[in-house]
Amino acid sequence: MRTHDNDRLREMLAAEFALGTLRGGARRRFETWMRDDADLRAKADAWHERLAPLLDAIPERRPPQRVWAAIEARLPGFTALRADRHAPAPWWERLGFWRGLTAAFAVVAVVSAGIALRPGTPPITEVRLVEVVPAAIASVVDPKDGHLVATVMQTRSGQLLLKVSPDVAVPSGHDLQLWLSANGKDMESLGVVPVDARTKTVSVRPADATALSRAKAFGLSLEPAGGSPQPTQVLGLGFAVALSS
Amino acid sequence: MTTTDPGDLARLIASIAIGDRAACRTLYDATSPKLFAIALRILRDEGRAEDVLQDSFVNVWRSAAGYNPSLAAPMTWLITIVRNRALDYLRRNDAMTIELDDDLIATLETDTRSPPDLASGAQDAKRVRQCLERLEGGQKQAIAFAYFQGLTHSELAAALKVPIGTVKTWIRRGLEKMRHCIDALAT
Repeated sequence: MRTHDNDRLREMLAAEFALGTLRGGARRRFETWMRDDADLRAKADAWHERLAPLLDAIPERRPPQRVWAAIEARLPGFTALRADRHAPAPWWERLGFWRGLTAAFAVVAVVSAGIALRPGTPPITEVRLVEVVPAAIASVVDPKDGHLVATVMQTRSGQLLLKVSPDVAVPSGHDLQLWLSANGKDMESLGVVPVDARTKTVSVRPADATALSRAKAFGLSLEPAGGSPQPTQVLGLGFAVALSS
Repeated sequence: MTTTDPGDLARLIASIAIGDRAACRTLYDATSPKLFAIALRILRDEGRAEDVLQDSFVNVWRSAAGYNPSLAAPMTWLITIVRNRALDYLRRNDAMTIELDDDLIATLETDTRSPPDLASGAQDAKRVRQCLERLEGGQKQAIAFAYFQGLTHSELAAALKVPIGTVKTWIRRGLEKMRHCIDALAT
């Protein structure tokens, strides 16, 4: 039970964190506390919202081109296969999550550049990952603290892709079950989710082909093995956001 | 596109979450002028501000999947990422004198007298500036310089030529008054 004084202290720490005067060790401690304390995060967010509009007074300043070039070079999605196969893979290729996330809806196009760097060396072959942008996406979050439990993506062709957070614990004798809701309240089952979905993106095919056109929200729940007719332990909910082309 | 509409920004962040590089470029083009200016105010060094902006957007790419639009407005989320990184990057040696933005207070005060703007973002900005304006001189200066320039308690004490205890009191009392003022005007 938090005392009134303790709550005032928490409020002031959150305020000084947002203001920027909480620094060094005290700042790092506060950031650690925020990880597990949703109320503290909410206080800090409220202070950010109060103060941030002050920054409108600062005149905007376009950064130099080189900043975007540097960012782009660090984003995954482009690899150059070198003739020397012993060259180490770039860091973004070693992130298994990204490969899992993009592989489900990425089309790999091989384009031969046909340019030799030095006479006698084989030409470099460019491999480009073309990512298809889904028609809608839902971030399924735990309503208690907002942390991400799963991401649901709907492609324009009507495919449903699901990626569950690897942190979601599934005790033995249980299954994850995916639901859709047409009105934000009543849930229709889309079926039991393979446990694979925590490590890679999986494709979900609803038995009812018209189901996806009704979906306004998605839910993920923990059920006894084999699933349930109605959700018993909801892990997260998320509303589908349509992505305009 | 140079939209700053929160709905558009939230959709861009959702697209970035599933690997859309073009959406990341669009978000960058729309928001980097404001974010770069914020980093520059704190760091006072173009090279370091560029580094912070770069690191911040790589962070946006990696954490976009965890962004929850019901918990934070998109621009506030981006600003918080940039400010946190800029404050972490801040290094000053003792010999460096702190230069206070002398026209900062004047700029903030002038804006509260400008004609009303019906856009909600502008209302938020007017509200917080009015509440800051109502504070006593010391409280107003300490909070303004702390927020815009990232000054610590001891740097503020040195720049404003008062004891550290006074700065801490100014900040705490000022923040409490601002909270009541902002929350009252918001209802």
